[in-house]
Amino acid sequence: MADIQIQNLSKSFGAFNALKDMSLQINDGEFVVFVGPSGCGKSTALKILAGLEAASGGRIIIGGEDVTELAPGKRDIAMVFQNYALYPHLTVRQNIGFGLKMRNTDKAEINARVERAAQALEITDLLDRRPKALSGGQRQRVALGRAIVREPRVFLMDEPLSNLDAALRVQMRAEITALQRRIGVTTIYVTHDQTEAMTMADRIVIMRRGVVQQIGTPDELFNRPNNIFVAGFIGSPSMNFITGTLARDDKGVFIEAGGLQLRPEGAVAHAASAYIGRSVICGIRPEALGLAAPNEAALEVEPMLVESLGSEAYVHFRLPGHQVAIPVAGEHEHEGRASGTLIARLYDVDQSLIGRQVRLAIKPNTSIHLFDPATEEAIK
Amino acid sequence: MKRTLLQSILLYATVIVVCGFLLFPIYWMIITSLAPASALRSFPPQFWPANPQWSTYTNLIFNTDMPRWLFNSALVAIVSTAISLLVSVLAAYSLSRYTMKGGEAVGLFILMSKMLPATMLIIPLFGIFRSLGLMGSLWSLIIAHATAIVPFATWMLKGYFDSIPQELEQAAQVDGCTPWGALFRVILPVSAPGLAATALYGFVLSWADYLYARTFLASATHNWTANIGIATFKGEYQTDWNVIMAASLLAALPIMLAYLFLQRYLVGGLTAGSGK
Amino acid sequence: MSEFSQSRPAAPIVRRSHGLFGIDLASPRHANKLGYLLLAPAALLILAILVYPMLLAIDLSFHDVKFATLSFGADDYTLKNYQRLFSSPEFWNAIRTTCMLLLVVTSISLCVGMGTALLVNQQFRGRSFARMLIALPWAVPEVVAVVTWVWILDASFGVLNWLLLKAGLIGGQVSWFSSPGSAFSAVTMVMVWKGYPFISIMILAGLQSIPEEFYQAAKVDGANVFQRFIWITVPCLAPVLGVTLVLTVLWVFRDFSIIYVLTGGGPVGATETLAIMTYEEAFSFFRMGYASSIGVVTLLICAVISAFLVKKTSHAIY
Repeated sequence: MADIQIQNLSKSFGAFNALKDMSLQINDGEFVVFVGPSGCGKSTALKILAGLEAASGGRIIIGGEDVTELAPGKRDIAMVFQNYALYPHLTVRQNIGFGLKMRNTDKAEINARVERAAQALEITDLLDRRPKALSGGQRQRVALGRAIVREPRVFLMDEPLSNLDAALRVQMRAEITALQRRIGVTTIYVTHDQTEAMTMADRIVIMRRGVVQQIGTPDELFNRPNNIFVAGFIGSPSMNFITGTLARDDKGVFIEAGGLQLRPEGAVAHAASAYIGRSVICGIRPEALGLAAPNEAALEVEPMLVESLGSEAYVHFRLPGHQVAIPVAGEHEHEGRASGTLIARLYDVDQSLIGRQVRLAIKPNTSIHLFDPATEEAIK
Repeated sequence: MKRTLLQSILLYATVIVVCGFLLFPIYWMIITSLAPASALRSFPPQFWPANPQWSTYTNLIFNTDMPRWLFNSALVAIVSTAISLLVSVLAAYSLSRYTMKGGEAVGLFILMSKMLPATMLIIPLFGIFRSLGLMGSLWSLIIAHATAIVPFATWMLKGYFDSIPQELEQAAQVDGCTPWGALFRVILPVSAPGLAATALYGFVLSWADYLYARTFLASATHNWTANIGIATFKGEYQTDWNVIMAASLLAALPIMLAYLFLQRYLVGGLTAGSGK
Repeated sequence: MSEFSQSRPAAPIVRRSHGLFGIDLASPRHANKLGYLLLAPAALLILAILVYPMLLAIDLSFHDVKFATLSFGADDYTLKNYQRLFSSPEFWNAIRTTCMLLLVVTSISLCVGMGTALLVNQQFRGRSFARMLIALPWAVPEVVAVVTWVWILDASFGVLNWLLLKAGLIGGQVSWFSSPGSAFSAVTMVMVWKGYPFISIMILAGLQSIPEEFYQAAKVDGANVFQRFIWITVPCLAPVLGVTLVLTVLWVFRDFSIIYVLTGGGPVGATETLAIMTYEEAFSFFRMGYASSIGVVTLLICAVISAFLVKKTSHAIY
């Protein structure tokens, strides 16, 4: 087990920069998730860490040793692949024991450790099958078994859950997290799914086009995003973005947006005073909106669509002149929601909202995020 | 979809007639080889041998050079396939996995060299082998056949390796293999069917050759391959068609059997190698 | 933890592994070197047995020599061979014969190959056995096939003449190899017999890769059997068909054994293709310079066809 230092790591393919100047310190036993849309450089970074690709520049230090030039097999790491990459010609037992065999571990020792790993993952009765005879979830467990049996210093996981169906993915997500907490091996996990990142990570590294956008705990990223990209990527449904001109009255700075007064507070309000009279982008999470009390100042909207999930409802609406189309990235950056439609996530809705005017208000004590429209950086 | 009885009968009848028609030459080869020499000059021809003459075969095996020629064919085919495969496997893997300067050009040249007319290549090869003193030696044939097998096998195996996910050897490398070890411990075992198909193709290519054998081995009768033997029989025993057909069947049998038993792999390899 | 990392020495130990010549090919930095290393044996072999001979042949075609020389001709490059070639009626005859053979053999083989592939793509018991049998001629060596056909086509006792006589299609026994027209038909028969199995195998593989859903969707849309063939089967097969056709064309173009053993190019050049002409000039008349020039022209024509193949292949869906 070891800590990892990534120093100014970069990778370019000809003129294309897949990874730009990435620096990161990962503590021993930490679970770090690299997240971002496809092509953001997260997988490239992982491949370089594994030694499967050469870096164009920078250093990787694992446990105090510079391993940048070292062969993958000598880095004492284990990796789980998206397609599991189980050896089809070997049984599950041989698959799990392969790494130990390559390290000339003694036979009895291999057997004992394979059995132990199989027990931990509840695949003991599959040990003599071939990968072809396994289901997706079982293959996933074998792949994990192959990683833990070696007791490496670092786990690298490359989208290990994306080939599983939704229900199994949630289950395996919890299992992997629990497993990592139990054995305490430093883990780097790559995904495009922000839910996985939020639920599993100690810290998240969010990336876009080869550049690290923000590094922080899930809470930090959710509550204090550095820029519009991070704000839009983290959280589901995504943050709403509204443009407006910043003004000041005796109660402080505010933005008037379609009958709604948005009042940033604290440090944000302080930083915003430099923007008085200028146009800014204002971010509000769908959870921050609620039904207004009868005599409260409210935003009256005609819902375009109401999605009811039983315990909650998503109200889609428009705010002409104020909504901004921010492409929100999912797995593929260009596929994101770019219509500028706003969403309110309402709880305890007791009557049907369809076809009626809905009066919305900002819930008290919710944070308003402000962004500079030119740089897309957060004002804070 | 259910067929009516009539449709089923029609379908089977068509299959039988078409197969019978297309396979008639093979049938005729077998029948003739078993017929007594006198029956060959009778009209109408005999479509079923009343008393099969197995002595034609025993004669061929014990009193002619045919067994030796078959052995030569096999020897040349095995050695040239083995040598070709050795270099082709490595090259195909390299072309499939590594992005190298000039790699694409080498790949393209290999593909293009499949198109070289053998009747042109044989002229300089003739000069080279003569000056090396390889005329009449089986080595000349082994090398000449390699000119056809190497490009073919490289391209076919590259197609096969392309279909194996790269993560497999990455996993092996993380598990502690060198790239070399990953190739031998993981990729090659996984591609065993592809290797077998490629080897068989190489064997067939070499076994079927007549051009090089006839040109390089003309004067060295003891080094002849089965194909020159048969073509010469055709000239010498003008009328002993039962002998010629028996020899032909012996020369065709190894490949026909290999085809019948390994058809699934062969077809897979053929379509992967050229369709991709 | 942060205090711990601050107390770490500024320069971490650099771990390197040393393999051959101090270079560890497993290291990410050197991975590409291994690629070159793996390619090297094949590249050297190809250089020695393909590139060098090919250059020799091209060089030879510019020299008026009887035998193949190993050194690149130092003196008197000449265009004599090419001048002679292009003014020779024999050459133009060979081009004509080759093209005719190409057209006839390829189209008939394609029809037989397509027909057999469609036949054994039907659902019936014993289908895999029929699939195996229908392409069996593929496994018969060319020389063996030729010798067998020579016997079938024998003028006095050949089974084909007997059948045709019985059927009343011919008046007397045909001597297949003595007239230009019948010799050409004989060559065509043997080449089709050797050529259709490959086409059949390829088309069958292509047919099997067409998703059944396409046909179901077409049925839902009301397409009949012929419409389904024209609008689904043919377009889906197009890439496979293109590659197969070009490979077949190249085979007919360059094949030597079948024609040489069957007719030797005769009678009176009726079956003399470029390949036969090259060989005859080189090894019967020992005009290797001249023969090389025919080879170079053949190569150029083949290269055009191959370029087409490469383009086609890169566009192929499969």
